Amino acid sequence: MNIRLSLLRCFSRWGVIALFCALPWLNAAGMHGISGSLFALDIFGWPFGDPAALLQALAGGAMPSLRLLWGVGSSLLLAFFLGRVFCGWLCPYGLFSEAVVALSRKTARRGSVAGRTELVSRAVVLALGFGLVLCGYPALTALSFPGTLSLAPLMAALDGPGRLLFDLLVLPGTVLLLEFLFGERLWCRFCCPQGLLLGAAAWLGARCGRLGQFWSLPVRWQAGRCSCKAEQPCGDVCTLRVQPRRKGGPDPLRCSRCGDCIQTCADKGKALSWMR
Amino acid sequence: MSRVFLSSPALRPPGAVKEKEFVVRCIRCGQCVEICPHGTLVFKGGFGRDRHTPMFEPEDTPCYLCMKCPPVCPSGALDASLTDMRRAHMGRAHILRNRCHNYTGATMCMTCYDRCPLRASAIVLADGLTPAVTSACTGCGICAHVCPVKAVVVLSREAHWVPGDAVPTLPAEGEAMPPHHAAGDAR
Repeated sequence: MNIRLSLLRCFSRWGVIALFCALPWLNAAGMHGISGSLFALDIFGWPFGDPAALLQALAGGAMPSLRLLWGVGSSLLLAFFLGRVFCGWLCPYGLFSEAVVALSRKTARRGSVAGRTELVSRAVVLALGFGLVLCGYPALTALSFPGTLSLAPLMAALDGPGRLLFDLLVLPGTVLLLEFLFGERLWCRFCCPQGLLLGAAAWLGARCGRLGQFWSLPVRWQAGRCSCKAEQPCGDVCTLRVQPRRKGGPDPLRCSRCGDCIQTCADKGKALSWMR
Repeated sequence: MSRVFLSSPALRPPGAVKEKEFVVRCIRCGQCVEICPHGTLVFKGGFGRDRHTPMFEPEDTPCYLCMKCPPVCPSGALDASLTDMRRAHMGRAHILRNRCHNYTGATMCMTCYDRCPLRASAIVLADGLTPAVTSACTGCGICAHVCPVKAVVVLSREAHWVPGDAVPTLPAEGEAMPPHHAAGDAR
C-alpha cells in the first residue's frame, strides 16, 4: 500500500470540518454551491439527507418533501454501494471519537467484543428516539451528532461562543467525556441512529452485491494468505471492535470501512483487501 | 420591554407552515439560516420542542423579505414555492398608541411608514397623520426595528393576544382579510 489509508482518512474528515467552518463565510460571499449541514446537505444541487431526520418527520406525521426523500435516498444509496463510508470517512463525531481512542489507548482499556449487543442497543436508542418524537419531542435530530457538529460553526458565526453553542455541544461533549472514561467509541457502537440506518443499507448492499459481485466496497479476507495465527493485529486495531477475519469480510452493519485493518494487514500477509 | 413578550410564539421565516407542524417538519438543517443575507434568522436555543428551529427577533434584525429562504428548505417546513413577499404571513405589527410620537402628539414621525417594504399597503396613514397597520402586514418587523421609541410590537401570526393599547388593524385596501388573520383579530 503506497498511500497510508489513515492519512487519507485524516484529510477527508478534517476536510469535512474545514468545509463546514468555511461555509458561513462562503455563503456570506454569495457562494451557495455547497450549503446546509449534515442534516441536509446540498452539493451543487444534489441533495443528501440524514435518514434519522426523515424518520423524525415521518413520526411527526408530516409528509416529507420530495427533496428530503431524494437526499436521504442518496445517503442510503451511498451506504448501499460503498458500505458505511460516511461513518469512517466523513463523520466529524467519528473523528473526535477516534481522537479520544488515541488518547485513552495509552491506558489500555478494552472490554469484550459485543457484536449483537451493539446492534440491539442501537435499535433500542432509535426506538426510544422514535417514541419521543411520537410524544412530540424532536429527539432524533437532537441525537444526530454528525448534523449537530456540522451546525456548530454556523451557530458560532451567528452568536459567537454563546449559549446557543453550549446548547449544541453539551451533549456530544458529554458523550466524548464518557467515552474517554468508560469505553471506546461508545456512541458509534451502541447509540448512533444514523449508523444503524446506514448500516442497514450497507447490509442490504452487501447481500445484493455478493449476488452480483459487481459493486460494493466490502473488506475481503483471504484465509489462505493470513499468516497471523493466535494474535490478530487487524482486529486489535479496529476501534469499533469489528472482527475483520471472517468469511465474507467484517459485518457490514458494524464496519465503517475505515480500512485500518487493511492497512495493518498490508504489513503482514496482505490477507485483507478491498473487494473489487 | 421585549421581556414582556417572551411568551409569544417565535416569528418564523416566510412561508412557514403552522407552528405545531413546523416544529415536527423542520429538520434543523440550517439551510434557511445559512442563505439569509441579512443575518436575520437565528436558531432558537434551549432544549424544548422547538430546539434549533429558525426564528427571528425584529428588534435585533428584521426580515427584509428577500424571500431567499423558502426555496432552499428541503423539509417542507417552509413553503418552497413562495416567492411573493406580500404572502410571507409571518405575523403582524402592532403600533402602541401611548408610545408612538404621532399618537402622543410629541412630534410628526413617519419612520415606520417610510421604511415599510409594503408602504401605503401594510402601513397606511389614517387622516394623513397617524400610522395604522393593515391586514396586508407580513410581520417583517422593519417598522419595529426602525421605530425611535419602540412603539411597534411584532407578534407571530399564532399569537393569541394583541397589546392592550395597540392601534386597531385595518383591512387591507382592495383585498378581503386573509381568513386566519381575520380570526386572529376577532379573538
